[in-house]
Amino acid sequence: MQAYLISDGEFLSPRQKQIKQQLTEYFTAKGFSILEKTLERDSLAFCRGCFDCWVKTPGECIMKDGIVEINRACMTSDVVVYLCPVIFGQFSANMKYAIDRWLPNMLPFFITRDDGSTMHSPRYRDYAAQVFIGYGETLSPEESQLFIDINKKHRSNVTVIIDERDNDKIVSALNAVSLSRVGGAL
Amino acid sequence: MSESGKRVILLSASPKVDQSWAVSEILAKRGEMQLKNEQIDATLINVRHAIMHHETLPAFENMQEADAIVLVFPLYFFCLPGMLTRFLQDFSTKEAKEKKDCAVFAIVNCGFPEPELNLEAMRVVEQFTLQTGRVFGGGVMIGCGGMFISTQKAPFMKQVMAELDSVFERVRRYTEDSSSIEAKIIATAPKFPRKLYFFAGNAGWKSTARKNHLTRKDLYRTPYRQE
Repeated sequence: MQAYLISDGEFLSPRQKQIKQQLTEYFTAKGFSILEKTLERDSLAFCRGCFDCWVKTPGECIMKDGIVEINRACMTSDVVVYLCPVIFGQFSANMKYAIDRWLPNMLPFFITRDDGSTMHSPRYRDYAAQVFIGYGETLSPEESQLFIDINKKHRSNVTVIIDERDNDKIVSALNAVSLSRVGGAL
Repeated sequence: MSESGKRVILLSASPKVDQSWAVSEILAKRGEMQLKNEQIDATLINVRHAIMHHETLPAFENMQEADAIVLVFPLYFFCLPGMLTRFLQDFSTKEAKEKKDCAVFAIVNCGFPEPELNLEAMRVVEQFTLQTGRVFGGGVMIGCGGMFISTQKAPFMKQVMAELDSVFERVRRYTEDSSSIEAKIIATAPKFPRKLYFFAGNAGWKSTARKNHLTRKDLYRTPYRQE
């Protein structure tokens, strides 16, 4: 079993270090091997919305920078944990670069979700369980709720944890999640 | 230029290389033209150009001086594109100073038929506005962005264009009277059958793939599939 932990090197804080340590201990105790990726400023180019990953090199981004390694690890792990600084209620820039460039992992075709809204079809039969842990020095309730909504309202099989500076709460939240690959709609 | 002396900055924030195919650039240019026609001092900043040409600092200075800012961007993963996130994050940490008499408006378009899917992006803009000490002016959320360029003059687009223009009109009014501000968010999409939009979209992907010498089966490749 493999856990892939992605974090933002631009927002290194004592708290981020603590959470990473906590996650490492947690997943090691559960028998996972851990693969880590720290995104630095300009580690990746931003997605330029060319859609070549759908119609030219299906399943792969045309820009062969660090995203190849990231998307391969995302697609071959059992669980992917995004340790996200929350900026204006969404992801930090470095994290958003990686998330936008996850696009090759889905298909261009539209499907209708159970709630009647539109989504893209999955490219793969199953995906790693995705856990988004949002943290910040002074997160307002509105920012926290927005971060939850961005991740949960429009996607299935995603877990969101807002850091409240309490390691036990993070462990409890992880214990409530199925940390294995999941099939079905995105 | 403007009698009020107020300055408006339109941030055109599509990450596309070819901006002539970027809906956001077209919408932002429309706003720039309309505001200039009303004798408003309006300047369009292309965010991609500013980042790629290392011209973000002068852009930030312009933003700091502005009395109104209009963000025009496409939805990426239910919030702002990474490129615009980088730009606003850097602005807030390097240049932004509180400016309570500056209003921020947003025009967000998505490829999905439901304009309401842009709501979280609009809320992100509101958070940016609050955290940089400005006033949120709302804006418009547009669905079916994928058909905009080829159909913008079609009759079924009239309502979308009217709602879009109403935002530019609100910006104009704000430059004359800052007490007119209300954070009104409008959702709009072309009056076009959903099934037909799906059909046309899906056919478009297949057609483009064929031009790239791919078969229909190729579109379903799974390069990172676990053996």
